[in-house]
Amino acid sequence: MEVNPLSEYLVSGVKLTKHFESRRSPIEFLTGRRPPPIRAVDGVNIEIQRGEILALVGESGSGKTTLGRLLLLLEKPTSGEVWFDGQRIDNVGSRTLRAYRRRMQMIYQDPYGSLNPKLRVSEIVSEPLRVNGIEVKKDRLAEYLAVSGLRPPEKFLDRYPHELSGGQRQRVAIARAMILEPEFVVADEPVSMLDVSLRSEILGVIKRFNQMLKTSFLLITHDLAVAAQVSSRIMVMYLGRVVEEGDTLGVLRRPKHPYTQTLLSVVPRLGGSLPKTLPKGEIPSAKNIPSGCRFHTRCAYALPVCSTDEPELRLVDGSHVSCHFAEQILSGSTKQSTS
Amino acid sequence: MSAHSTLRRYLGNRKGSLGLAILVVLVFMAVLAPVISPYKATQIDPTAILQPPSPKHLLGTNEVGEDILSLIIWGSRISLLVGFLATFVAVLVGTAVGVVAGYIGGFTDEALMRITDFFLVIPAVVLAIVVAALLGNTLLNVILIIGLLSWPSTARVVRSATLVYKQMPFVEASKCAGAGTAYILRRHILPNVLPLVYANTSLTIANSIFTQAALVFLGVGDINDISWGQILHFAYASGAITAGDYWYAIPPGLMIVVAVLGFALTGYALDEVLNPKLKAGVVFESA
Ligand SMILES: Nc1ncnc2c1ncn2[C@@H]1O[C@H](COP(=O)(O)OP(=O)(O)OP(=O)(O)O)[C@@H](O)[C@H]1O
Ligand code: SF4
Ligand SMILES: [Mg+2]
Repeated sequence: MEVNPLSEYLVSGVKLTKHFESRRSPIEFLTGRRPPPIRAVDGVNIEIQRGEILALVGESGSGKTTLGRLLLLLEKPTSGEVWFDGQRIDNVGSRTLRAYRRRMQMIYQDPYGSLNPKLRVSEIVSEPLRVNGIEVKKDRLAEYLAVSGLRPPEKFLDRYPHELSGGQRQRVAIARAMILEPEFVVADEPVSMLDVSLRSEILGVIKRFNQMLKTSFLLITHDLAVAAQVSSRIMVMYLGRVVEEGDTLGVLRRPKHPYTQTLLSVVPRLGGSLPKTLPKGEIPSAKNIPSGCRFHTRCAYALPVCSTDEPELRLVDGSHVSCHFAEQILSGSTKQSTS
Repeated sequence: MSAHSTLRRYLGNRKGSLGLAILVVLVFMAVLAPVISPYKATQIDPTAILQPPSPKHLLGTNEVGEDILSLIIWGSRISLLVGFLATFVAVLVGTAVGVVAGYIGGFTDEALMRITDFFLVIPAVVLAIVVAALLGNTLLNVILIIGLLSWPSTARVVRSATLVYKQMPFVEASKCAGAGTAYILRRHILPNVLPLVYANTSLTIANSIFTQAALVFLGVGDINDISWGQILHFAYASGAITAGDYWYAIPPGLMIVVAVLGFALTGYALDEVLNPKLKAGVVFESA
């Protein structure tokens, strides 16, 4: 196993790539041609520090879930490396990997599918302890349910999932993910299926566990308001690539990439000063990614060079940005085209 | 979904209540045979050979002077026993094959499904006759043969449900927590898949009862065990059917039809009550 004891990061992904095989269309079937792969994640570097909450944002289809699952090795990378606590873990055997599994957990988007309908809350939350041969103490279950906001916890222990609301289910799912005191948790859109009035409370639960157990979170969301509430850092993805990455405050106050700007402009509370610009058209398919800058088909600032040269991530005013014209756009010396 | 509300919904289902009523009557008949049957099954009345129904013999007698009603009542024991035991074998094998094929997938799945298809296409009765001839004409062999011929449909139902459940997030969450395959099958897959098996079970019982009757009629199985199929066999062999002795042939035939109907109705009703949402394409119970 490769070891890098100097790594200051808890989790990192190096040039991570995941290509899915796509189904053949009828024409491809007749001509015997192989369809192009779906490039869900396409060369992403990501580092997560101990104890931080990193928000991963982007539109549907940008590859957020796939990146999260790659870091947990629930998906095998097409290429690239995954490191955890100074050790490379994407090339280890399944026995070794199982020992790492309990140190990293996942919280799912759908609070209905993530709980077995046939099990009681106490059985669901204690399962991670039982399968690891840890003694199940009722006090511990109650404590984790209470921190998750199910009070009084005793009232919930014997219930079945169908006796709970969506928000309560998500709290149970969070308690289950946290009870092994994992060091790293991927929370995939944990509040997007919940009522708006509940979202900030559930995010509060995540924040509380983050402080209580010093757990690092990768918080996947398409909603910048969610990112703003609990994250210390934001990473913006577009079509399998990172387009901007920096401190939450810096990214929200001074978004540098045109894509981040358009995402922000539609969140009234956060992007009040930005001109309201929606990205043009639909997000292109991950099967057919545009040449050059992947965003050029929808970018209001695009120039000819954008469709031929792919911009690299570089440091601009405290954030990492991949745009040829980040400085000019920031200083206002480039005008949006009015198409 | 509580057991109580499930029962209420079941009894609210017309097919379900009719099916259940038939089963209750049949089970009582089999259990209470010594009490309710007018004669001992093999008690011979030399004064009444092949007599039509009379006050003394309500359903008449057969060619050796046995009381048909008593034969029918005692015969329900073997018919039901074969139905239940053969189905037990079928459900055990079918569930195991279905869960393993669906969950493990890949080559294991391919291989198991080829075997399942093979058992689906071979003509059951022909195979039964051959196997019985090789292994011996005993009741136990008939039960095993019927059981081993009936598991494919259970295996298919279980496999497709397993495919749905294995990609549910709660299964992956369990894996993330460190659970192994055996634990996940026992704790997450089986409890969700079994309700489908229950409904399928009734249909398998119906099928087993019918197959046993058909086999005995053809002379496969121990011809001395009294069962409805055996009564029919002798009705035919003794020439009573061709002679038009309706009281000899109709009661066993009718009992087979009623029993099959009872279990089939129960099965359909159970399916409607236990698995209503699966039909709509939603597998979890919503709040
Ligand atoms: N198992 C898979 N097989 C084939 N294609 C997949 C698979 N998983 C994801 N994809 C494709 O990869 C791309 C990225 O998907 P991903 O789910 O990671 O995006 P996302 O950012 O999480 O989107 P969303 O907000 O909709 O969850 C999409 O085009 C998707 O269709
Ligand atoms: S590189 Fe060009 S197309 Fe891409 S974001 Fe910058 S200006 Fe827009
Ligand atoms: Mg997603």
